[in-house]
Amino acid sequence: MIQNMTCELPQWLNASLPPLGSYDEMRLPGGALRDHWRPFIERLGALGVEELGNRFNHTQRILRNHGVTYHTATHEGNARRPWELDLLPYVISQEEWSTIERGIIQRSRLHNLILQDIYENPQFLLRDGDIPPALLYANPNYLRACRGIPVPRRGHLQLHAVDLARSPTGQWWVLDDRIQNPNGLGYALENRSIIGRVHQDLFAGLEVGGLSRFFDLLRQNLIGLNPNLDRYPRVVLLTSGSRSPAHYEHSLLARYLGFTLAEGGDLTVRQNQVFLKTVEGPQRVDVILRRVNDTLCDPLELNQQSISGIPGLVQAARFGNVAIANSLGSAVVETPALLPTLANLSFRLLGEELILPNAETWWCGDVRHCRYVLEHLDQLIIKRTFTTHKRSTYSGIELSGPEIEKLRGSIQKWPHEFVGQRPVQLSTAPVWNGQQMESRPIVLRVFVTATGDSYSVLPGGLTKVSGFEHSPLKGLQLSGGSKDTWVLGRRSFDAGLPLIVLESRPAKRMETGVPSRTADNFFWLGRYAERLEQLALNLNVIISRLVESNEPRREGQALQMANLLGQTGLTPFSSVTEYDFSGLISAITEVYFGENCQGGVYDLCKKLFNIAVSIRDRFSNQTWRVLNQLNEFPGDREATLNAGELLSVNHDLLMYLSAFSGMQNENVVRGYEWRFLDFGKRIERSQNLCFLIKNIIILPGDTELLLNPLLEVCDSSMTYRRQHYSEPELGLVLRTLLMDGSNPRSLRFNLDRLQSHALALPGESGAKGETPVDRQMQLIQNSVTESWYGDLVDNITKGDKLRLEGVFDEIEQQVCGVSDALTQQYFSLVRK
Amino acid sequence: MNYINYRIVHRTSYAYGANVSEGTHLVRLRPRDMRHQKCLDFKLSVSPLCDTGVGFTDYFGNLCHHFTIDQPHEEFVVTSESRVTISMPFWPEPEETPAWETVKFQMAADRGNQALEAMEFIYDSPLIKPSKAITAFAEQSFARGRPILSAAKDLTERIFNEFTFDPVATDVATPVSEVMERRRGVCQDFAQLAIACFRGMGLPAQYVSGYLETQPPPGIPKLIGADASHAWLAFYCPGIGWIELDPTNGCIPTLHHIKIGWGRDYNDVAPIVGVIRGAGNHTLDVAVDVIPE
Repeated sequence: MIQNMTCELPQWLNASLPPLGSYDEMRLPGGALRDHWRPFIERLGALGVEELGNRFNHTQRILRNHGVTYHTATHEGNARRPWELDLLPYVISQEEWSTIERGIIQRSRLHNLILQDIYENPQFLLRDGDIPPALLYANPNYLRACRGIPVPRRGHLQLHAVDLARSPTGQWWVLDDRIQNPNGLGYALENRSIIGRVHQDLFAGLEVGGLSRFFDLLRQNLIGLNPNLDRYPRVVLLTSGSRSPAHYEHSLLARYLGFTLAEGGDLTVRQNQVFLKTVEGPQRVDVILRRVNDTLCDPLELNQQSISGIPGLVQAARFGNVAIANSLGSAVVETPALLPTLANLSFRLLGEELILPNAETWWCGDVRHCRYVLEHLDQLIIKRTFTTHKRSTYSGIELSGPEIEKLRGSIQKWPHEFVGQRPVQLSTAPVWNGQQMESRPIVLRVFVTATGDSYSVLPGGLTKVSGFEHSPLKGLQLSGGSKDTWVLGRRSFDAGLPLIVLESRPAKRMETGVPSRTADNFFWLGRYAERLEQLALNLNVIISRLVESNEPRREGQALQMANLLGQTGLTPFSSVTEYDFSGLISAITEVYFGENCQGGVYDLCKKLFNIAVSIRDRFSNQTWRVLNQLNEFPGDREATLNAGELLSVNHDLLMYLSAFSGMQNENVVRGYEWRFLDFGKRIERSQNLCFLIKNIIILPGDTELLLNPLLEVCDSSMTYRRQHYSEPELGLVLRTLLMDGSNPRSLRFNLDRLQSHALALPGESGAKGETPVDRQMQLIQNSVTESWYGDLVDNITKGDKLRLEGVFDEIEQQVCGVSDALTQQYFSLVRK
Repeated sequence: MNYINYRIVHRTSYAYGANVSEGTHLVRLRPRDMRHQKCLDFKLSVSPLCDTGVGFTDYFGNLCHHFTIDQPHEEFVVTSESRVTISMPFWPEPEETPAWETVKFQMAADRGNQALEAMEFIYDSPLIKPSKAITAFAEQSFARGRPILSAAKDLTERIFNEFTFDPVATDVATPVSEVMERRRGVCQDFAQLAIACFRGMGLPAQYVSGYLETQPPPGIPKLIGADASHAWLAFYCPGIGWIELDPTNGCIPTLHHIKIGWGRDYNDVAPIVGVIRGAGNHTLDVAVDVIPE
């Protein structure tokens, strides 16, 4: 019967055969489907190959739109790599899962007790010889400064990730414990959210374990760590910033859990308490979920070279004022040299046998183990006991004779620095490569959270796919392919299925404080978005005239405008010589696509996006899609574009920017974030406007020819025509651009907006009102008056260009003053 | 003379040259109580004025003070004043100590409290990683079967004779391997080098931070502030305990070395560490007076 059913499956579902000897997750040795895969594969078969192709494309599109990335340090610098997600989930039966679940919970309990012994108790394990002294004393992750620090609920281990692999016999083995930085949870969430959308129909009736309950438990657990029982806790997720490989995950988790994403520079320690620096002043922090390595958390007491840490954090923890998950120093148990003794420790501390075995490991600090390793060097993986060396893993199988001998020498010299491990031949699961199924080796990463006095496992996980040329050294990194993980038959335990809505927040609101760095980033995001829009408007004026170049007057305007913009630096043309038609086209192309053109379109798009990345947790997915478009803009440089094509490209840019500002205007709460963004935009616009007008009216000779372009650059042609029904006249144009409070492009309008922001921002004591920014705004508002405008027009009539220049310079400087006051008051706490 | 009382004033000042908005500091300045030494009185003061608290004991048992200055300042001064009494320590006859190999093998087997604590000082530490050249240098003193204190004294004297005291040749970041190569440095370098020699031979040795009473040449009055922070080392000998050595002066410390504390290397017992926000370069001035009473 089973055989018959497989025969009914279409040919395209037959994955290529796995490497000889490895365990096939989907098929029995005879080729028949395993029971727990059958329902899923049958449904997949029913979809047809064409539909699968559609879903493949859909998946790729969502990944791109969400901007899911993982950095790999190995590629030049620190490139953001797109996340890879396979269309087929990894499927595991409830029966098998419950063994894994029990094994992992046991492992978390065990590690927690070991940490307790190392950091709290008089180190019985060390004294009784259960842990060899070298594993602590020579271990750079044994943080002496952290011994004796009080740990809430004695929970050193709050979040734990474990890598598992299945050997040909079907046995699961633990490869690795990730404790100081259990990466991947956010990616597991993202994978489910995407697969949940793409395969919504395939979930029905399969009772796939849902993920949301786990995150609820994690959130409750972290909140429950609060050591300051008199307050509702503020929890922050500590990240090392947008350069961190898993920054995408950090911002996703912060958003999903409803915690504040903070970098070391956002936090400060005073009177042994941790504070978040916000635009409303410092706010207490009670719990830190950290994604920064142990030794980097405090440059004062741990690694002095650290730039991601918080000076004094250890001291705050010592005073019991802040809870840190996982506890500082917990990485001490990550060393593979602990693995050979783990079974013994389990027996001693829990009175239990290990449910899940470790990959077989020998620590060379033990004489007999060392002998075994030296005798079997060519069959083992050799790892450094402590991961401080650049190269920490060697595969004996792949090393040449001389390399083996060199390694042998090192091991004999510093035996306690090395462990040997028997490689596990990974099992394989089917992967859809876009055309067909193929078998690829997998590793399963599972996640555990503490739940008060016990632990709970995420019913799912991150399945990582490695290449065919799988090397045991490379299979365990987060980069490379991944799969959603379906634990079948879980529905009765967990109602929250399949998880789609990503932006949930805890019912109870935290304090609202916007971190100063976040505010700073919003301000600059506003400025760059405006700068980019201004550039696009400038280019539009020129290109649109080039398109109609049969009209000499229009072409003349284009050239004159290009020269003006180039000479004043408003548009980063490479040279400021007089352009002819074709020269201008190539200069504009360069401004668009030139990667080294400072202040050009490509450059500004990248800058804008990089700022956005560091506050990724603050944007909805919808806004992010727009930001992604800007990141990919203007795309690859095509051979040569003519004026018409350039104009279309420019219209696209203007449209994306409108979408972004529309999103900000319609979908964002009028909180501080929005105000800082808008503040940046208005400052930039006011400065640009003054600079532009000044440079046009001080031009020698007749400026009338430039009035139409000026109105267009300021996006005010329609406004002007509606009001005046006439060809532009300088006096009237200036009224529209400077004094018309109903025109969103006018100086008046922008100054008014700035003032209303200034009044709404928090003052010194946290209350709104009298602030230096406010006082600076008053200064400008007092100078830009009707009588000021009257004088301006008089001077134009008199032709007093020197005086005119001075008038605009003064306004520009005052706007600068506002910007400086803002920086000083709200962002200056930021450590650069 | 069986004991000496000292008054020690240690003043460290930092001039930042620009406003610092925040400084977080950790200091280890209180002389430690131990068998041959008692701290009778200790006073710590900081400018700008700030509360330094009662202090806490670190992992190695040294007393630390932690404080944050959160007002803008261009200068930061820490002054500690201590009164200490030191009595004559007992050091064994070099030839009567066990052979160094015996110590090494005993360490591997012994799980007693003292031995376990000593194990802490056998392994590499952040600032001390023995190089091939260092181990080769050590082997010349550690001849087979030589009593450990005899070998240790020989090593100390060789460093004293073969290395040049040179305050500009190195800084706090200079690795011991470079000190070995260039054969110059200051007390901190020589102490760490000697420790590297011990550890290279598989023996535990610790870094000691403190003060040295300096004697002016006969007939010349002692200058105020001429003394200095000093560093030396101690190695472990089962049954006897920790025996001190001062390679900078080629001697075994007696009544003139005042101990603040110890650790694996300089980092564990640095007298003052701090992280500041908001300034570029700074200049540092240290003045120490060790006055016998």
